[in-house]
Amino acid sequence: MKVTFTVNGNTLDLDVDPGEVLLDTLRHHGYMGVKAGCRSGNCGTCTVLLDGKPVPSCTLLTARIDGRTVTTIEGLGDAAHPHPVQEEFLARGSAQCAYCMQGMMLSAKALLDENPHPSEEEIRDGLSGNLCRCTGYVKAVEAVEALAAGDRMSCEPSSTAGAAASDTGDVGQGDEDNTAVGRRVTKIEGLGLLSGRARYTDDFVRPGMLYGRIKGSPHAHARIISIDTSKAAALDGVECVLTHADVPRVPFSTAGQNCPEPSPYDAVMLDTKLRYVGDRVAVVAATSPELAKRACDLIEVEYEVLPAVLDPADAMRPGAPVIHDQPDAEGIQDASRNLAGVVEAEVGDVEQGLAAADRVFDNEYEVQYVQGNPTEPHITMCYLDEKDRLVVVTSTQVPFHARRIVARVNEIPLHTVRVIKPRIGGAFGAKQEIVLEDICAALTLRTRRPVKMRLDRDEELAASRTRHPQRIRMRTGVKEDGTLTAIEMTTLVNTGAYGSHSTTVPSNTGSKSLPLYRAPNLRFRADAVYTNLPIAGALRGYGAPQGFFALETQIEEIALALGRDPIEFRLSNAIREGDPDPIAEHLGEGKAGFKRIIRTNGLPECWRRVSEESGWDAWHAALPEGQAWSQGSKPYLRRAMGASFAMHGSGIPGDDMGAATVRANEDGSFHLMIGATDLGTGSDTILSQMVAEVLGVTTDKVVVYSSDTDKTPFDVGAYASSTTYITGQAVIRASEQVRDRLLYHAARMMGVDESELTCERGEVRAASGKSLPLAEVSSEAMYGEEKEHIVCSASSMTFDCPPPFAAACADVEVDIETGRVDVLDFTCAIDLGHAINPTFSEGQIQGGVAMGLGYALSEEMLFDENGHMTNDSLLDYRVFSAVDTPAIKAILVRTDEPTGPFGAKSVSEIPVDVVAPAIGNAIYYATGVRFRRTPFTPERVLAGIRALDD
Amino acid sequence: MYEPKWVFPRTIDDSLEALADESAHAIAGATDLAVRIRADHGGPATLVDLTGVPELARVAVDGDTLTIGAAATHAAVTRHDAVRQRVAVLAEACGTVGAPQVRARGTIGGNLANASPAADATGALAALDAVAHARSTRGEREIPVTGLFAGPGQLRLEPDELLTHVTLELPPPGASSVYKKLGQRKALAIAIASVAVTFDPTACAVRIALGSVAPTVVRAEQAESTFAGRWSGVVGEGGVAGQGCRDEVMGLIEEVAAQAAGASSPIDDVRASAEYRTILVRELTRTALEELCLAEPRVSG
Repeated sequence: MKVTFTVNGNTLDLDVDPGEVLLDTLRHHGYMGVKAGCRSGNCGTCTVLLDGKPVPSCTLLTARIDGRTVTTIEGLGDAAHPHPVQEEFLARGSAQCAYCMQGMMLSAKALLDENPHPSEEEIRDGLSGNLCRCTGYVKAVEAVEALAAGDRMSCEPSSTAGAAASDTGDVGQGDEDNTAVGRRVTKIEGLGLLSGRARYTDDFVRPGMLYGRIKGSPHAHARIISIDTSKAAALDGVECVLTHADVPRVPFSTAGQNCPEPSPYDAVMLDTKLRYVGDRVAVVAATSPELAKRACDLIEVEYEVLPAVLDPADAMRPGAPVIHDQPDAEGIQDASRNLAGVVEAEVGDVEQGLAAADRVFDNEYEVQYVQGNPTEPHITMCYLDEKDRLVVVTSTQVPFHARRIVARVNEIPLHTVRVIKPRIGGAFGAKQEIVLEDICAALTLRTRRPVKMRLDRDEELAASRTRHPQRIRMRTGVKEDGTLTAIEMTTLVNTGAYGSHSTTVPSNTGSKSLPLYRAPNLRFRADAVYTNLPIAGALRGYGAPQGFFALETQIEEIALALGRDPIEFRLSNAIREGDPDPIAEHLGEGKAGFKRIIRTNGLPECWRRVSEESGWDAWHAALPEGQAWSQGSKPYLRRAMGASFAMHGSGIPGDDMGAATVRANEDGSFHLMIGATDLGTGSDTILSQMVAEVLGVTTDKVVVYSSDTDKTPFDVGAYASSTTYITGQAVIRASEQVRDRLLYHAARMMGVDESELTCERGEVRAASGKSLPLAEVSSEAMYGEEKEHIVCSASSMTFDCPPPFAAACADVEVDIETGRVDVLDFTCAIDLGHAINPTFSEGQIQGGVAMGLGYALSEEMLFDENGHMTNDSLLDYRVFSAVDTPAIKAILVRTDEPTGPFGAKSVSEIPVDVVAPAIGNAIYYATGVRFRRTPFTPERVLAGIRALDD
Repeated sequence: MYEPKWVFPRTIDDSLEALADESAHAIAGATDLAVRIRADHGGPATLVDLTGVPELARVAVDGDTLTIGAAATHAAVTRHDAVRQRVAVLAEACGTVGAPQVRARGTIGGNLANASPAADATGALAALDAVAHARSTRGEREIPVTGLFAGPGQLRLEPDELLTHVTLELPPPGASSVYKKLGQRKALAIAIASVAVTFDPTACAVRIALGSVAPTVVRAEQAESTFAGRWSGVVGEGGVAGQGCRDEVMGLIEEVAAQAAGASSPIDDVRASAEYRTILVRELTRTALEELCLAEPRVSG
C-alpha cells in the first residue's frame, strides 16, 4: 500500500506491505543506523523519532505513518555536522558497543527538546526505554547532564585534546607528556560510530541473500524418531532444509578456546537427539525471515520424549537419564553419570588445616542461571566469494577459533574459510561460542547463496549461552586470632545440555577467588554436570562471580562471628605484594597452571579510596550504638552499607596469544592490523594508543583494521580480560620494530647514529636538536634509495597473569515491608595497573557493575517443570534500565605492573565479581538476614525478613 | 503474506462504520499488534487506525468532569495540568507505564481494552469511579470501568462497540490520591501488584483499586466500607494530629489494608507468588493510606 512520509528531511513515497514494521522499511531503504534489538518493543534499540517523539520502530506498522515525520540517528547529525548529543556522547565515552546508543541518543534529544534542564531523575526516566548492556548508563546520563548544564566537553576525536587523566587521582600522573597512553582519547571510530555509520553484521546484505532459521526442540530431552521436511521444502521461497541426515557428523565443542578446545567434544551440527528446549532439530533457509519461520513450523517431527533431568544433583544420581549417550563424544568425564568434567586441586593439607582451626565455618551458597543478553543478538552472514571461498561475517569474539571450527565441522579446508568480524553489538562471553556460524555455513555451502541467521530475542535468552549456576560449599578453618588455616571450596556446577566451558569456567571459580586470602591449605573441587537446560558457557567474569559470592559472603560471616571488623579482617588476611599464589600452579584452565607471584597489589589503596568516596566511615560513625542500619526517608526503609573485595586475572597464562602487524605509511601515519576483537570495549582504540605512544604520534595517525582471518594476524580473541595485557605486548613489540626501522632510515638521512634518535611528537629527533618529520623518514624509506616498506609483526604470549584487585561498597536501602532492595550508590575501585585509557576503564567498571547488579538483584532465567524458560522476553527477564541503575562510582587505582604493557593489568571482568557479595552484605546489615542465594528478589528478601521475625 | 485492509477514519462516525464490519479491529497505540502479527503469521483482516480522529485523543476538563479520549496517550494524560493537580493517582499510574517510548504511543483506551489485570491506568480509573463510554452504530452506553471486564483479556463490549472515552468526576479540593506499584524493575515493568487509592476527607471515603492480584482490576469494597464507617469516629474533632488519634488511625489503616489483601485472589506466575502478592497488597495499601490519611491537610486553592 502507498505511504508517504519524511525521513531525515527526505520524502519517501513508498509501496509497503500492509503488515510491515517501520524498522524493516527504514533498514530496507538504507537507514541502517536503526538497529534491531528485541523486535518486541521492549528494549528501545530501534528507537526513532516520530514527529519528535521517541518510538520503537519495531512495533510501528509503516502503513500508519502516512504524512508523518521520522528522524533516525543518521538524521540527528553526521561526522561533518554532528548534533551536540552525538559530540557529547563521543567526548564522554558514553557509548561502548554503541548498538543501543543509536536509539538512546534520539531519546536524549527528545528529552532535551521537551525539557532543556532535566533533573538526573528526569534524565534517567527519559533514557529508561533504551536498555543498554555495556555501560551502566553512567556516561550517557553524564553527557545529558552536561548538555543540559551547557558544560560541554571538547570533542576532538582521537587527538591529544582529550584531557589528561590526572583528574582521576593517581591515574595519569606521569602521563601528561604522553601522546596517547594514559590519556582520555576518544574512540578512534569517531562520530561515525554515533551516527549510524558503523557496520554490524546485520548491516551486511547481499543480493539473493537467504534467511536461515533453526527449528528448536519443543522438548527438553527427546530423540527424533522421524522427520518429514516435505511440506516445509515445498513452500515457495524455501530453498533449503537440513536435518541430521544432511550434514557431516563431526563431534566438536562450541566453545571457541585454544586448540584443541579443552571442553568435551559432545556436540554435532545436527543430531538425532535433543538435549534441551531449543536444541537444533533442523535448519531452514528461505527468501524471508517470515517464510523461514513458517517453514520451521511445517517440519513434521515424531519425537520419542525422554525423561528430562533439570537439577545437577538429580542428574548425578544412579538411574538418572543419561544425556550424552552417543558413542562418538570425546572428552566427557563420565557420561553415564552426566558428569561433563571434574576439576580438583589442593595446596597443603586441608583436613589438617581444618583440624588445626579453632573454628570451622561450613556454609552453602547458590547462584542462579543468568544470561549475557547482548543488545545485538547472535548473528552470522555467510556467502561464497568469487573464488568460492566461504566468507563468514559474524558477531564473534573469536574469529580465528570460529574459522577453525567452522572448517572442521563442515569438513572443508581451513584456508577456504574467511571469517570477518565487523562491529560487534556487545558479546560478554556469549559470543566466545560457535552458536550460528557452523550451521549458517552449512546452509551457504549447500545452497551456494548468501545466508543470514539471527537469533530472535526469545532464542537469545533461552537458547544461546548462560552463566553456570553453581551450588558452592565453603569450609573454612580459622584460629581465634583470625588466622585462616584452610579454605575448601566444593562446587556443583550445572553446565546445561552441552559441556562448553564446562571445566574451564569452574576452574576459574576456584583459581580467581581462592588466592585472595592467605591460607596455607587450600582445596578446590568442581563437578560439572549435564542437565536438560540451556547451555552454560562463557560470561563476563567466567566463574569468578560465582566463587566470589561464596568467598566474600563467608569471609564477612566469619569476621562477624569472630567479633572482628570485616574490612580489617579482610585486609589483614589478604594476599600481598611479593606473595606467591600457590593454587595458580595447580589450577589452570581445566588443567594445571603456572607459578604466580603477586608483583603489584593496590588492594589497600582501593579500599581507602572506596571508603572515602562512599562516605563509609562517616556513615558508620553516625549509627546508633548496636545498630547496623540507618533510618531511611520512610519508616519502612532501612539503609545500610556492605563491602566486598576481589581479584581476577589478565589473560590465560600459557594459552593466550595475540599478534599484531604495524605498517608505516609515507605520510607519517601507521596501520595497525590485529586479530584482537573489539566488542565495544574500545580495545581498537587502546591498542592504537600503544602504537601511537611508541611511535610518538597521536591516535589519529593510526589506522586500525581488526579481526579478519584473511588480513590480520592471529589472535585467540577477546576473552579472559586479555586484549590489553596480551595483545598489547605484541602491539608494542611490532611498533618498536617499526620505530627501529624508521630510526635506521632517519640515521642514514641525518648522518648520525641511530642510538642518538628518538620518535617524538611526529618527528624523529636527534640528541643534537635536529629533527625530521616522520613523514619524510617514512617516505624516504619507501621511495628513497633503499625502498623498504616498513611492516613489522610480533606475537605475544606469557606465563604471567597479574591480578587486578577490587574493593567495593554497596549503599542500599531495603524496604522491610515489601522486601525491595534499592541500591542508592555503588562505589568500586580497581587496581588495574596503568589505565591506558581512563575513560574506557571507568566504562568497563560501570558496565561490569551494572551486569553484577542484575546478577545480584533481578536477573534469573526461570524454567517450568518441562525445562521451558518461562521468562524469555525482556519484559520478564529483568535487565536493569537507566532508572533502576544507581549512580556507579568508578575509581581507578594505579599500580605499575612490571610485566604489563605500559604497566597495565586488566579491568573488564573483575567489576562483576564484587557486586553480589557487597549487596548481600549490605542487606544483612539492613535486615539481620543472611542471604546465601542470588538474586535477592523482593519476594526472597521479604520471606527472609519474615522468617527472622517468626 | 499478511495483507490487512487499512482504514484511517477522521471522525467517530466513520470509525463506527468501519467497525461495523465483523473482521475489523480498532487500533490506537498498537504497541503489541506487530508482535502478534509476527507470532501468528497474520492478524485481523481489517485494521481501523483511530489515531487520526482528533476527538478520540482529547483530554479536557468541563466543570468538574474530566474527559479522556480513548486514543489519548499515557504521555498526554500525565502531562495534563488538571490530571497532575487533581488526580495524582492517574498521573502517577500513567507515568509508571513502560518508558517514554511506550507512554508516547500507548493509549488509555488500549490500556482498558486489553483488559489486563495489571493495567496501570485502569487501576487508577477504577479507583476514581471512572465511567467508560462505548458507541456503536446502534447507539451509546455507559459502563463503569469496574464493570468493564469479564476476565483477563475479556471486555464486556460488543464486537462493533467502540470505547470512545472515559469520564470521571474530579475529586473535591482537599481530596488526594496515590498510586503504588511494585514491579520487577522500575521502568518497562509489569506490576507484580499495584494499588490505586483515593481519599476524600470531607466525605470520609477512600476508594481502593487493586491491580495484578485478581483476574481483573478489582475494588476492595469491604475495606472501603470499613474505612467509611470508622474514619470520622477515629479522627474526631482534632483531626489526625489530635491526641491519641494517630494510633487509632494506624489501627484503622492496618485493618483496612488487611481487608484489601482479603479482596485479592492472586495467582503464582513468573513474576511472583500468590502469597507474596497478597502481602504486597496489604503493605502497599497501608503505605498509600498512611501517606494520604496522615498527611497534613492540604491548603486548597
